[in-house]
Amino acid sequence: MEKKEAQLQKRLRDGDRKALEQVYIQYKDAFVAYLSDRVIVRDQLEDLYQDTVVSLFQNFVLKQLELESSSIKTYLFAIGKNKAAAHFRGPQLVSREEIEPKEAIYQIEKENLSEEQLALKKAFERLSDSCRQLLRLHYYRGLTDKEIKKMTDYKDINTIKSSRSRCLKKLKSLIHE
Amino acid sequence: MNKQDDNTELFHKRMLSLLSDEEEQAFAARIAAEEDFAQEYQEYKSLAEVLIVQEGEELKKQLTTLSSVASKSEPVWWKAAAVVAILFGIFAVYQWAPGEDLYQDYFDPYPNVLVPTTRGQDSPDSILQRAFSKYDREDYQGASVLFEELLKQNPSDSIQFYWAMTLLNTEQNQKAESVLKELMEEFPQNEFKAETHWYYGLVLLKNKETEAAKDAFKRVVEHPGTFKKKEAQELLEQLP
Repeated sequence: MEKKEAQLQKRLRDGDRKALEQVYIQYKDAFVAYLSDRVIVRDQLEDLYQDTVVSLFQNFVLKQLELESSSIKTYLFAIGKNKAAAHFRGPQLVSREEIEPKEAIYQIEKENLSEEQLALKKAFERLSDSCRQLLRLHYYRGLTDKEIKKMTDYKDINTIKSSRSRCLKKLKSLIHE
Repeated sequence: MNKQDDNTELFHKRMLSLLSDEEEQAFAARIAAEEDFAQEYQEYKSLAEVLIVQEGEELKKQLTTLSSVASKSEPVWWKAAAVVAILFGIFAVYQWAPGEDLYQDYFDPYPNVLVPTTRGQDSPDSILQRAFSKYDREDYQGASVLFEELLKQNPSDSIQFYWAMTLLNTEQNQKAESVLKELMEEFPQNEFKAETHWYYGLVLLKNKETEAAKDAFKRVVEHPGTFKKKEAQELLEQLP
């Protein structure tokens, strides 16, 4: 794998938001050219591209993805093609063979959330920065308390546990406010 | 006993379908047998999905901002560049200036096209945001320190390019020359390829390495884009 590609993949895994922007800028023209005959309205294409880049980024972060047989570009295009197909209810454009099973795209949209989850989301947005950060590490990054301790200033694992339960309590109380 | 911590990795992987067939079977068996475990997983998954959607929305907001900044600033930038190019074209007919003067005439700070500066963003990239905020305010000294710090954490071609820009803007020309040279060697296909050659050429001019500067300007002319092509051509015609 090219050094530059490997470095960019690493930054995506690390959740480097600058890498998100770099991917967005780097492949935009090629992506637009590729899908412009399938997606006619330009505004929709921009929107589709943004969703595609976000999905790529989140898959890297969530799964700590290391692409070996494909590149960021092929992966990005595969996501884009699937999104276009889903959005316009056309035929599935990517055959399953194009993506390795472990590289399968994880996807969840706002429309998939239950009423209760939507209420949780609203409440989460009102939490303090420190609570959001802590809950993100646990529920979004899937990190164990041991791993969280290594990358934060929390004194010990018990403090992390008690802070988390305090944040969850706060979150639940915000739902009812 | 709080089992939650032990299960984080398992839950996370299960939710993303990352378990092996064997692990998946074991997981299903536990779900069926242990009510607490099943409930714990449901709670984890429910909140995890919320956070994924929420984070996705924030990321999308960032791209929307980037996209609107890019489409707003680009045409203005190119118009300004065109005007400058025409002015220099006229100017070049009347006057021949040696290295130092040419540098002064042709050098202008490169704009921040990478990270839009926004306020109050709860972003993990705060050093990056701070660096570009300083860059935008022309505090090149301050930005320089932060870019250097970022590069220590993570090598990045675009950050290295902007670090070189801060060095040029603070008259650290020898250092700027070596940073730009390294950028071309380490990342020959970097995003700011034409820009790198252009500023490398300018700094060589300033450092009185005319022959090498001409090579760099040739690369700018040969580059498929339009960035500073005209100016590079003018300089090539003017240099001895």
